[in-house]
Amino acid sequence: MKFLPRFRPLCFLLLSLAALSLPLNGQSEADYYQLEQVSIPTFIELEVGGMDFLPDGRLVVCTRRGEVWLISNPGPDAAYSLFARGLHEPLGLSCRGEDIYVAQRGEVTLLRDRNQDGRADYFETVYDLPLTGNYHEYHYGPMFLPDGTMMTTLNLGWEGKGVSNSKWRGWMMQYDPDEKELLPFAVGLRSPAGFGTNAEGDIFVAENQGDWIGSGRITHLKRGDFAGHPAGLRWADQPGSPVKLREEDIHDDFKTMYAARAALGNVKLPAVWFPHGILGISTAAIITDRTEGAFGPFAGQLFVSDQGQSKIMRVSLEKVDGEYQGAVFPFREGFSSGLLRLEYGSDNALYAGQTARGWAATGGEEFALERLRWTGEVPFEMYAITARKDGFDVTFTEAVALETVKPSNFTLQNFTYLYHHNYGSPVVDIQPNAIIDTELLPDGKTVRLTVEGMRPGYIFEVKLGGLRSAAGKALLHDFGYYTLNALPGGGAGDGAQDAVAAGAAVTAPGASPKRPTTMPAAWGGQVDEDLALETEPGMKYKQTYITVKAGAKVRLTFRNPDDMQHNFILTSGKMGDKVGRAAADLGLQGLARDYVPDIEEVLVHTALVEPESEDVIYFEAPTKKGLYEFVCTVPGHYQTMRGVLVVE
Amino acid sequence: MIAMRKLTYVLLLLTICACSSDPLDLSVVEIEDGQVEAVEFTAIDLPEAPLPKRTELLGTHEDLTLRFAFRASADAKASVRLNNAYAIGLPGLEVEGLTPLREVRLSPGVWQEVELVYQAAASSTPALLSALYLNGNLLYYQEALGTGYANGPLILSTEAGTVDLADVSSSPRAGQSSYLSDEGEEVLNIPQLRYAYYDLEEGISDVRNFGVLTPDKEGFHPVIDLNYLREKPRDYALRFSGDLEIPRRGEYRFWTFSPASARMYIDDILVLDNGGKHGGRSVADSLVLSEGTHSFRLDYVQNTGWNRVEIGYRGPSGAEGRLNTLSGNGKVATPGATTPNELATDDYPYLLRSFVYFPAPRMYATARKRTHAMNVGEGDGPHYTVDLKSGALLQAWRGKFVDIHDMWDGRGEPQVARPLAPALYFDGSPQWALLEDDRSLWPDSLTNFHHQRHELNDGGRPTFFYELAGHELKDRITPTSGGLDRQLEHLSGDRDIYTQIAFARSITETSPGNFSLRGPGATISILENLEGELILQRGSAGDRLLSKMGPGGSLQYSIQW
Repeated sequence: MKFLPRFRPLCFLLLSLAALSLPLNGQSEADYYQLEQVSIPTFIELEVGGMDFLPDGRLVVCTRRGEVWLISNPGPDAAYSLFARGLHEPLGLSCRGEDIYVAQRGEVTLLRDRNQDGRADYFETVYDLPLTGNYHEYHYGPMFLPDGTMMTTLNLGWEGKGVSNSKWRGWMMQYDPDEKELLPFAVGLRSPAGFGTNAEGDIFVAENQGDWIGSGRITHLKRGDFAGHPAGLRWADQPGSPVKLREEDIHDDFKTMYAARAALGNVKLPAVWFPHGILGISTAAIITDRTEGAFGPFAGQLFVSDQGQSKIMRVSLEKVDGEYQGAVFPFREGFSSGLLRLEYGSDNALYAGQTARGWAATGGEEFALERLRWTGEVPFEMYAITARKDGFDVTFTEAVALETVKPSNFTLQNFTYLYHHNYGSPVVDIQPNAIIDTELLPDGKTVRLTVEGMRPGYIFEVKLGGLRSAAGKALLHDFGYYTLNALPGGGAGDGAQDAVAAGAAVTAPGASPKRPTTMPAAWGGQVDEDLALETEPGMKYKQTYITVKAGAKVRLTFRNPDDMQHNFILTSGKMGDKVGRAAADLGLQGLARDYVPDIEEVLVHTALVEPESEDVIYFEAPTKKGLYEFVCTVPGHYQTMRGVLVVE
Repeated sequence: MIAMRKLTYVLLLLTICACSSDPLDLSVVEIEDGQVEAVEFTAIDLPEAPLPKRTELLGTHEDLTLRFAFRASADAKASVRLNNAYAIGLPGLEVEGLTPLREVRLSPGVWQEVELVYQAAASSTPALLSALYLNGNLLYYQEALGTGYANGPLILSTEAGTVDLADVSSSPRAGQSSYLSDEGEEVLNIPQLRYAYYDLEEGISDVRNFGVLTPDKEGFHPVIDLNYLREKPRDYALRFSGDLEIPRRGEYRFWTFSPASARMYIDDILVLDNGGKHGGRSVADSLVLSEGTHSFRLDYVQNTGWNRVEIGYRGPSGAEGRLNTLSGNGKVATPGATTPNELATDDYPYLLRSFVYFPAPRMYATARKRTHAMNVGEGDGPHYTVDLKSGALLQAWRGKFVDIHDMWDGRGEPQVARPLAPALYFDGSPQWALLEDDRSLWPDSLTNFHHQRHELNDGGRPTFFYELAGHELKDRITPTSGGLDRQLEHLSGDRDIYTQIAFARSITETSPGNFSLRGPGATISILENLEGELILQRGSAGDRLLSKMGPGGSLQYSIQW
């Protein structure tokens, strides 16, 4: 039976991710950026929480197990020396001269080695925080600004949804060491595990898909900004708070953040959205390329890491209407674990500190420390996308072959996300954009696209066809996403805009032929097997080996007590990998389809189940005895979240 | 003339006495702390010390929850004999045929706290040691003592040396029964449930003939903990029965939720019928119950893949609660332990910051956390934990350091480090306070207290520096062979500050500067008290030993246990 999609996809526009993981025309990312290991002794669990370089070039790493290691000669023959231990899950580290600052769960600590024996002997509480004991109350930073103040962020607690039960949870804080004051800076955060400054010194914070957060993204934060999640507004009426919004001001009726900002004023739109599952599933570190060309052609741009998909993405920014917006492109994948931290070494290599305990990452390793080095070769890539009133300018890293500049080599569509209390958002209101004209500008590197259907408040997918550089090189990556918060010169553009209708278009998943939610009448009210399947934190199922009799009438209760969405797909045999990959290929449509691909290897499936919810389906077990794999196809999950239904 | 000289001497003496006060002088003050004693327990009067070799504590008894403190001499050999048949050895708490859950290492001459829950044998069931806690640490849990029916008194029998007892009280039940709270709300609990476990054939959907079935195992457990009692994932049945005390006559509404078959009976009447195969379903009903004891039974048949049953109630006052089922919210300690992951110590003190459960968690009781705890581990101990939010010394123990399974396994959701040996638990109230006067009540928490820093000496031992409302304070704890030495200093401040040396159920000065504590048990010796004045507050909840420290004051004392 065919699975009938709710949206009519424009099939020729669907993004194919499978193609992205294969080298394009024989090229690979490694040709331009080499991935190298930093050796780690076998007795160290280097679950990187924070890292920074000392003036003498040693790399200081703090781990989630509370250790601080000094690494000399980071590379294949690194030497490790234990500086401190016992800190409480430190998730950020910053060197200032010889002083080492660490953000632990309950405080920011300054560590010093006064007697110079190589071990810290002085631990000063810079400031401390109240805690409820909820494990989700993480603490990140500190990041020092030129004025000597330091920035940190506070993760929300988790009780079935994001909550702010300790003061300032969900805020970015600014600490003034001279006045010894901890001041609230901005609010609306959920899981702000990474933040950094751009070339101009403005602060950007990364956010992960979750309740109120439709997809991963980075947001520019100024003092007084509200970034979207309402839980932190609980403290907005406290002395020192620069935010006037209240929790009750935020509700589902706005449908989009764009509409919420129009109504409330102080809702900060993300500068760049990272479509979930395509460009990351847990956006983390943000770092600006300040190598002045020693790390390739992207000087001044931002690199953003992903913890779940073990990769790095690249961002180009511009300012329109006084606010940042820009584009995200793929950059480098293939790291070994979950990328939490990025730092440049004095050797101009980009060091990536990684951990995956509790949050499985594509790379598969529990932790890693690797670095990326530019080979000196310049890839042919989109360098930046800038907006125009009637289209986009796409600038490339090298001169473009004129004969490849034509409308048929550019495919654009745009969409947005819903702004609601639910976990994540499907992509909604997808509209294709016709390319009226393409023009190679006199610089030889920029293609001016005249586009129909420009509309602010939407994210534009730019996909390229057979473009070549003037020297004949093929593109290394062929797509990017531009977040159009405003049109230059203002105005509403000429695109059909209907953020309210967009929300109405999304309906709750109904029963489909492969997801029967009521007992078939033919069963006469009798069920042969009542199965219970539960999820477990860390992208796992609790039951991974379930036995049923062939042809049994099964009622399956799928419970999800975890803090993220999951689903259950029963495959037609050992088809877990095939179904997982097909789900990844759904691209932008993924979430709207509950990540269930429309292929025959899918036998039955549940809906995409929210945290702390459940779904019940009825089906008859296969009549043929054997092993039938089942998987969760939420992006990044299927490699570890799987089991086997044994039919006997 | 001689009279004048005598008078001069007397005057001189008086003047000298007035100018120099002995730092070990103790001021004792009575305070009004308004504490109310637990109602259920009855104190047991003891004969004068030394106790006779055979001391009868209670006459013939049945079920029993017993609390007492004991202190044994180095050569002591004694036992508490339940029903004069089952002996709990003192001081080592040995029980024939049983292995304690943790190693017992006690020092003679120090008071130890014991709480034990005992279920007398009945015609078909053995005597049961439901639980035995030593100083709050669980030593035995749900252990059968023997099959013989014993009908004797509760005896303390001393064979050698001396054993002192104190604060002995008992309740004629094996565990916590129902009661009315201070606010008049009904709290229902069945102290001990008897269970019968049946291994059933595959595909079973219901059981209606328990009468002809023989259980595969039987026993007692205080909570309907399916995961702990079952031996396979499905196709089994459990019958629970026990005595439900109703503390107040009125209408009680009961409900149950289960995806499996569950039927609840009160006084053999089927009150809730959630039986058969039906998927996750709730059933509720109300009935009027008289005050007093009613029989309770739950027949549970695991006929699906999902193990779960919940039972709740609403009393006449509107009070709601769960009846002997795990509610899922709140952290509770359960007997099915995970594999401990020992954090080994080396020759450098390991300062591990973590959450800790405090007070010591009890089986199936909600555990509370301290969130800014610093555990200091060195060699074989004594290790200790301080609360950086209040400066309090929370616990100390000898042996292995901590279990960090709950911190570094998966996401480490509890984030708790647990001592790997029985610990001495202190009361956890703040270390410092700015009291109005010697009689003021000690605060429960501090709002303007901060840990400023800690510094390590060359050997890695920490000294903690704190600040309370402008007063700068210093705390250094040193492990010794007898226990811990502690030096507290009031570095600077604009007036006197009080520091708590100990809080216990009873503190007795055995000689100037030396104190014996009971509840918890330890001895404390004041080694130095500069610019300080010792004060002992006596209240109905217990005694609190303080020192009032002037600016520049320094107090040094040792805690031994």
